[in-house]
Amino acid sequence: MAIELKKLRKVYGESTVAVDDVDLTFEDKKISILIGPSGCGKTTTLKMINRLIERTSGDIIIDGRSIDEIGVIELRRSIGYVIQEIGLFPHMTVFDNIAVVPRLLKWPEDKIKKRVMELLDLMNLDPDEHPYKYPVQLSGGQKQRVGVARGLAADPEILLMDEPFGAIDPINREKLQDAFIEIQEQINKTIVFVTHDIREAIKLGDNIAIFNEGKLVQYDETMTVINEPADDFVENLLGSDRGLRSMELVRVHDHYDTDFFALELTEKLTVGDALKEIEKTDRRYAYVLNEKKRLAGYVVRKKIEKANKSDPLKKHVKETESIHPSSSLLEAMSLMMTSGLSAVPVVDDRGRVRGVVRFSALMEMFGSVDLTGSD
Amino acid sequence: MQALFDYYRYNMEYFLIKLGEHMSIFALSWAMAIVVGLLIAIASTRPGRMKIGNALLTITGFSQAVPSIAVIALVFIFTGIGFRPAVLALFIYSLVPIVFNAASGLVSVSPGMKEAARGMGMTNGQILRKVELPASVPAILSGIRSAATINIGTTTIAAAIGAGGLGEIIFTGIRNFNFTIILAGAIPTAITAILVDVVLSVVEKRVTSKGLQLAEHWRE
Ligand SMILES: Nc1ncnc2c1ncn2[C@@H]1O[C@H](COP(=O)(O)OP(=O)(O)OP(=O)(O)O)[C@@H](O)[C@H]1O
Ligand SMILES: [Mg+2]
Repeated sequence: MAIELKKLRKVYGESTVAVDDVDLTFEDKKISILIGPSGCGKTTTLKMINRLIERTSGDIIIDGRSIDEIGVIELRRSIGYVIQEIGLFPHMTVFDNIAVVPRLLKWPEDKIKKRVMELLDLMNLDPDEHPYKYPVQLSGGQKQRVGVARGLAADPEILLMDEPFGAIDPINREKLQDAFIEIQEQINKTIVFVTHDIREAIKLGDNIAIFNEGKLVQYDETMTVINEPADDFVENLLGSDRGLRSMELVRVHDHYDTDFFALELTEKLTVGDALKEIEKTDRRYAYVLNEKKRLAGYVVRKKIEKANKSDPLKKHVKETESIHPSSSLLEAMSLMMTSGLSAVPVVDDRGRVRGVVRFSALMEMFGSVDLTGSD
Repeated sequence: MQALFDYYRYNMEYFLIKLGEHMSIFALSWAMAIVVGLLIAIASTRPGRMKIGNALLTITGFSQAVPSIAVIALVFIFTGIGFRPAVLALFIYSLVPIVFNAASGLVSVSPGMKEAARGMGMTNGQILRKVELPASVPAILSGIRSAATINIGTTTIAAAIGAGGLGEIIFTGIRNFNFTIILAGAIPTAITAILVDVVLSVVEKRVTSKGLQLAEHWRE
């Protein structure tokens, strides 16, 4: 569900303008980041969405309806809300913490149990051990996973997250971010995520909204922000090594090309058969999948054109490196460098080929950015 | 020692009556103080009323230093003597630690936690029942517990305004310079105070969430 902010404004007291006529749309099923210096209005903006803070003027539209048309309690129960670990209830077990909203919604207990176990699994928490522990018995990272699980408990379409990983040490924060990216791949929620860490923003964000003193300075896709910062303020925020840094942080999963050609390998498939298929396209090479639709390798058109047409194709399949959707573009780039490939296939956990990352696309993406970091 | 047993043997009925009076003054004033005290603590710490809660904390904090005899004397001046004034005086006196502890427990529930609860769609009543009260159980119970101990001891003074109780035995002993009779009143007072405290500590263990007990443990 998309969330539209229309001329959204918040004035505290007489004259503290915390949010100044902000217009933007958080896209459906995307992670949108709110970033900016302390006091720029990120939290205020976020909390106006679930009406923990009432706006002064303007409107917020979710799925075509103003949030005022929905009862405030119902609105909040339909939106996941995740804050730093202090938000967990110390007197409740992990299970009960996660079960809060489903219980408010009066789900039957067996459905709640099933859902909690499912979420523990999703969050990589041990379903035998963890549900009956209390927050004090967990590490910071584990607490935060429980916090995210709790936000997702009633399967809301929208998740609001206010610096959820802010209190976690850098190493564990990286791990949580990686896990979070993979979770979003599975759950596809509309997520509004507040942070003041630019690395986190680039790494997690599909879109980034940059705030300064209550005003929206820029709101664009992450790569656009990196390539075309709206002004000096944004450029400073990104830092001087933004090119290399963003390449390290931006994940393959948003930037691969789904336009590729693959052949399914069978015992009987000959070079001739394969060529006939390839010739229907203007491809120079084709990926080859085995019977289970897993990546077996690739064949180069020019090479097999010279081969005996009745040869089984299997003989000519070359192995290839592949890359996971959650890898960074920098990893993709270095893989190309070391393997000499001009494109690497993107293969997910289940072994399915999702697409390819091409060198030319990377060049285009980072073309306008100084990769040496000397600007 | 023998003399003590003799006292009980010859005054069993009288002793039991005094014990009964003692326990009823205690139980009645204590129970009322729990109910009223918790209501005051809760009412003064509702959202938007935290200032009242904090003011109340200061007041009750100070009043804890007022000696019980003064409270009893004051109530006595206004309401005369007997069972009811004694219950009233002890009620007021027990109210102080109960309100103080409960209010400080409720005031110190982290704002982040309450906000998380609100953000998840709990109503104010649900936040109170599911978050604030359970998280304040240790503080609330410690107030109730100290009120009980103070109350049982102080009930002995109630005899001074003619309310009966074990204090009457103690006062008789004092008047007659009879150490045995003083002990005959004082020992059961101490024992009941200890017993009630032991029972309450068991209750406390049972109703305090294990999560909070562990947190307490970790802090030490
Ligand atoms: N309840 C309030 N009453 C008055 N002013 C407030 C209140 N809450 C926030 N403000 C002010 O509004 C502005 C925006 O605050 P907000 O909490 O939205 O900032 P933020 O971007 O989340 O900052 P941070 O990164 O420090 O969390 C700040 O100037 C802050 O002082
Ligand atoms: Mg904030």
